Amino acid sequence: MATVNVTLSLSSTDLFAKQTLSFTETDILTPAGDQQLVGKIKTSGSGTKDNIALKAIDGSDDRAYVFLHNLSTTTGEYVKVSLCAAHGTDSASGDWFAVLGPGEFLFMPTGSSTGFQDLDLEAATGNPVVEYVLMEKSA
Amino acid sequence: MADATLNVTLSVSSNDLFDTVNLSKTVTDAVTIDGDNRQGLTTMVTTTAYTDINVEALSGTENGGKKAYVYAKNTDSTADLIFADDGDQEFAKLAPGEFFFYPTADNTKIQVKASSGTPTVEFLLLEVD
Repeated sequence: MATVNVTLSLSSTDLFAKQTLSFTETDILTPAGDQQLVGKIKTSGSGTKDNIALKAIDGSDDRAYVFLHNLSTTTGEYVKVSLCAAHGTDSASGDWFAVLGPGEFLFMPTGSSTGFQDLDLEAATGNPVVEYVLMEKSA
Repeated sequence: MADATLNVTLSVSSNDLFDTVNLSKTVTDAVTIDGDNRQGLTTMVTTTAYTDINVEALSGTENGGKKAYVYAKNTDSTADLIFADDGDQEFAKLAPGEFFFYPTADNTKIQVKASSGTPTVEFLLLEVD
């Protein structure tokens, strides 16, 4: 079984007057699903949603580890991230759970007991490029 | 409140996920925190009913609206943590020891509940104006 190392570090010296923030978290993942993807997509632009899974995400609670990185450096080119109930279909209109501004990224173990099979991306403007890793957790 | 800067570094690596290529990616960002909700590192005992992790409704207007940077970790050793948005739509499930970091948007709240028992969630929530 493959292993994937993930490390997150957060720090700030000016969030709070009386407290400095600085910590690091690590995890070793063992994705064992049917699809493990690394990709880069030029988004289609506002009004069009781009799916990133190759087939339906399944397994227990449709879980997947997802890394997304908006490579744009242009102000305003943020990307909306949504879950899709069925593979290859659009997410619900106007319903996104995350947004990536230029240069921003996320890491999340996605999942839902009510089922979701895909993620889609929609640019607010322009055609920002998004780099992604999608690792289905179990088959 | 004066604006603050949150420095973020994320690394993902594997030498056996694929046969032909190794995965090794490190990204960094310095994001500006200028919203009303500035909640530092917090721990909270969860139950099998949803509880909001934000103190007040998320309300910013930048980049998709209602934006905040959220970190969460499941510190339990047995139960999962389930996260949902303001429409009760589940979007994340953290197994024991797992964590996430992401910019939430388009939702006034983030909710968490346990798959069973009373696991503890550790989280940080920093709103953007």
